[in-house]
Amino acid sequence: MDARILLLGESNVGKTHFGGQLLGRLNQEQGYLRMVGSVGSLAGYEEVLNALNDGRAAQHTGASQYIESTWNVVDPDGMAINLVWPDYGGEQVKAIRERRAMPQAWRERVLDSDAWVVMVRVHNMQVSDDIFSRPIGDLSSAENRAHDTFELSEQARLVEFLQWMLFVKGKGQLKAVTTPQLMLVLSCWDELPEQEASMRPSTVLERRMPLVAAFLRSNWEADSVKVLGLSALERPLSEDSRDNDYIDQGPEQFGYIVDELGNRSKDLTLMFKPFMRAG
Amino acid sequence: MRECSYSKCNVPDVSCYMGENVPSKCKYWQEGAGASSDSGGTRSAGTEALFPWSGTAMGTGELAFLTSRGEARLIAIAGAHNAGKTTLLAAWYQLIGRSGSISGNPFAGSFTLEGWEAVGHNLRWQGNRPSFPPHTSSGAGRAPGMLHLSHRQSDGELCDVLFADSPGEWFQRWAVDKDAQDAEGARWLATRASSFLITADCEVLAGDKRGPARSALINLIRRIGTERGNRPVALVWTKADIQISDTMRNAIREAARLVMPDIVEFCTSVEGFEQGSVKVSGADSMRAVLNWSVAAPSRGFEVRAPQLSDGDPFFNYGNA
Repeated sequence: MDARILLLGESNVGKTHFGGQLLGRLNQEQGYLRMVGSVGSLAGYEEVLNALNDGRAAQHTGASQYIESTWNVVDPDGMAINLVWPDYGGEQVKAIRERRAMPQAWRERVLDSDAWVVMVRVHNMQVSDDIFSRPIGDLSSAENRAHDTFELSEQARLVEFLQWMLFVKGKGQLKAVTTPQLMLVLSCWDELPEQEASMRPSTVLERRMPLVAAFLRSNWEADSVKVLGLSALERPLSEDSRDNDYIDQGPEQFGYIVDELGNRSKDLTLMFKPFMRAG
Repeated sequence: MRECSYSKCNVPDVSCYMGENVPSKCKYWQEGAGASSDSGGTRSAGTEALFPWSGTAMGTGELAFLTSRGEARLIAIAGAHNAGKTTLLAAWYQLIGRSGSISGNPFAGSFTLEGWEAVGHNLRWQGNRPSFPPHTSSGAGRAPGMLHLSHRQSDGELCDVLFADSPGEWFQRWAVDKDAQDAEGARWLATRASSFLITADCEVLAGDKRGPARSALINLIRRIGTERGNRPVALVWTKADIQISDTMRNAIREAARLVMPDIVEFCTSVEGFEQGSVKVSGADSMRAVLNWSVAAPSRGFEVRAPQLSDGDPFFNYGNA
């Protein structure tokens, strides 16, 4: 059976744009991977491809609109994998968090998967300042806060998410995990400040999400976890105004991945090469 | 045993998640009146994968899940009300969140991330200016809420550590009367802890109420000295940016060394302070205590046996 790769990411991490751009590359058949036969379902991506060809950003995908699709792709040696894009909205993750339970459909996807690609929007990830990084002079006179509301930090959310996945997959943490392999994709790489954009993705992760970086290092074998960068669009697009370069050159001329060494490639299908080698 | 219908709440093991002093005032408890959480209608009919951890501070019910994978170290933090116990935890979480490191080892996970965030977020510049975390409510809990961390040691072994965030009142009662009815939580901890931290609040020890504070602290030190066996104990001078008199410090120190000659001392503050002529950063002072705590040897403790009770004898488990 072909390896199944789950592509995961909460809302607003650029998953839809990446899907559209990847589909464009696969259809072009000039990259590392190509689609086997016709795509089973273009649903959800037709509108994205139309928008990008018109130089516009696609509309935000609502949680209920998203449709699961599975793409069967092969590498030049004929090795095949299934890329599974599950129906996945931020609301669903919130529901899992509230109920402390993973629904049956999700559970089955996790159990059936051989590798996970988890997308996070790197620009949103930042350890906030605290009293140690930015001291406050008169904290001693500060009153205790009441039971105010708070949101989990981005890194705590991601660690918790990965812990759910490992638990459901039946992977304890006593020994480092070899399968499922994990790829953490730092998306919207073009939003990073110039200084960080030239760094290796793993370095950016260490800087912006030290807790996550340590969690990956602790729980996965070194060969089984990768951190990559991704800019699906290469530049910000708007839903309202049109980008002439996109219109004239085509969206397939834009977007890149950043490999583990920090090298960029326009062939977005190369992202999955580590899984092909392992498979 | 009656449990709350809210999946994140471990009352009556620990205090009410919603902050109510007694569970009967909580809407979730009221909603689930007469029912246990297992049948409370908040779960589907066995098709979901239920997570055995709530994400908030652990009660004894969740310990079985954690300790089944190995022995956990339990650090008991004892001290008076407002002595900075929760602030210690908040500071540690912030330091770990900024470095990913626990005493030089990489962070490997936590089953109480929401519990850590609940205390840690107070120290962040996020919307609000930082402030101290709220006091730990004494509530009606019988056991402390425990915050969990694991780290991967250099030999590849996973090490689980539990930190007990308990209300100061428990220890005050226990220090005076070992068998006090309302000190059950302190007794629970005292019998199971791998090591103890005793917080000495410099702010109170420098103020008007320093006499009773000194006396209460020495009572606590003596009690722990009697109960600890050979487990390690540290005396942590909190809010160390506030100076206390040498007479006061020596009185406490001597009382501690009399019963525990091997007791170690730390000074902590969220702000930088001077120790002798040496400037110490707040972060370094907090980190030193964390490093000592996680290095403590583990000590086995009994975990509540899992039990299922049902009218059908085939489905009874653990009740024989």
